[in-house]
Amino acid sequence: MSDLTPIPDTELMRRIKGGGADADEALRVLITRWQQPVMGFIQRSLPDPAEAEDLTQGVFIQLWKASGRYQPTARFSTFLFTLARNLTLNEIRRRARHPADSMDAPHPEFEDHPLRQIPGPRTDEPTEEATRSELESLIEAALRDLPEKQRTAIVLCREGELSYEEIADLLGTSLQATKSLIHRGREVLKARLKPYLRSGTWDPS
Amino acid sequence: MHSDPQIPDWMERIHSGKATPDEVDRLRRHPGVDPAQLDEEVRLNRLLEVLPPVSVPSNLASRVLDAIHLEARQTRRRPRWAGWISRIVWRPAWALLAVACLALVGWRIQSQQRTTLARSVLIVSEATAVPGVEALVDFEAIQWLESRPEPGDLELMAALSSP
Repeated sequence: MSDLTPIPDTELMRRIKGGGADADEALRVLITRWQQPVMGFIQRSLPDPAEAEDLTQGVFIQLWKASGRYQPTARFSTFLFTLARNLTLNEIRRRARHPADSMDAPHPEFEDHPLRQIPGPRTDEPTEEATRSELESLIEAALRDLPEKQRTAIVLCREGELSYEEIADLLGTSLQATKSLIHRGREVLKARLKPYLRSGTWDPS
Repeated sequence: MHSDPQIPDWMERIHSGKATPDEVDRLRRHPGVDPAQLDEEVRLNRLLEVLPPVSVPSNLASRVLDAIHLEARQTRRRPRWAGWISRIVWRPAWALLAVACLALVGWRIQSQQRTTLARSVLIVSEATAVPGVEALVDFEAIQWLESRPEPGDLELMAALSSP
């Protein structure tokens, strides 16, 4: 456990900005503290875990580069997730421009095979596990299909543990508009997952 | 549903998945809350909890620091004069390009003006009866042109000289 662990994010950022001897350790603590929510946020937008991992790494590299711009008056979580959101949006735009780069794109020689084989559900696994895996895929797809702002607001609210005010700051919208985005997004999710909402779990009957 | 000013805060807790069962029960008993809608929100939360937390590689921090150190080394390895050269060379190059563009535009405008002038001269020369080049080369012809008065002129001279 590092000595810097109990230190607040803003102080860690100040140390990274200063570039002193403990700058590396400060960044390491920040990464350990935030890697899970950042990667969770990115992976809800990008289906490929490997790409999400690379992008998460990119977010923290960008955080180091942008540490000079960070003002302690701004909340660190808003600053970090703004970087994560911008990088994710750039990646989504890049993939839209060059669909061939996507891991889901067909292999140039074998058009019916994707570039990277994502393992499907095992056929010999128990049925309950298979249905749970199917449900996970459905929920992930439903989240990914939401408009970007609705998805960002919902994911940051749940996984980023950001308040409505922080999400509003990050999205550049009013508090009321943010509440409306979350409400509309959740309504869409409810509509898409309606068959599974009866019991709150997988219930195909 | 949100007649009580406290309800939006509770909804925020429910939306974030942080509401305790006790808070949900209190909210369900609230007269301004539709229990069916609240139950739907809670069920959606339960469904979203089905998603497993993403698995982060244990060496992510080390990978980030390695990438940062590599980039820092590459920046340091670049000689200081390289920065100066780029600053010295690129700025004048851009300035030169801008001057060249301006000169090209100026030259185009000037050449267009000259063409217009030449065209207008051609129109004037076509409209005016000027003796041919052969006539101007022949000295005697020039003399003839200058010394031979028109009959009208003679009449005018006579009229002016008479009292």
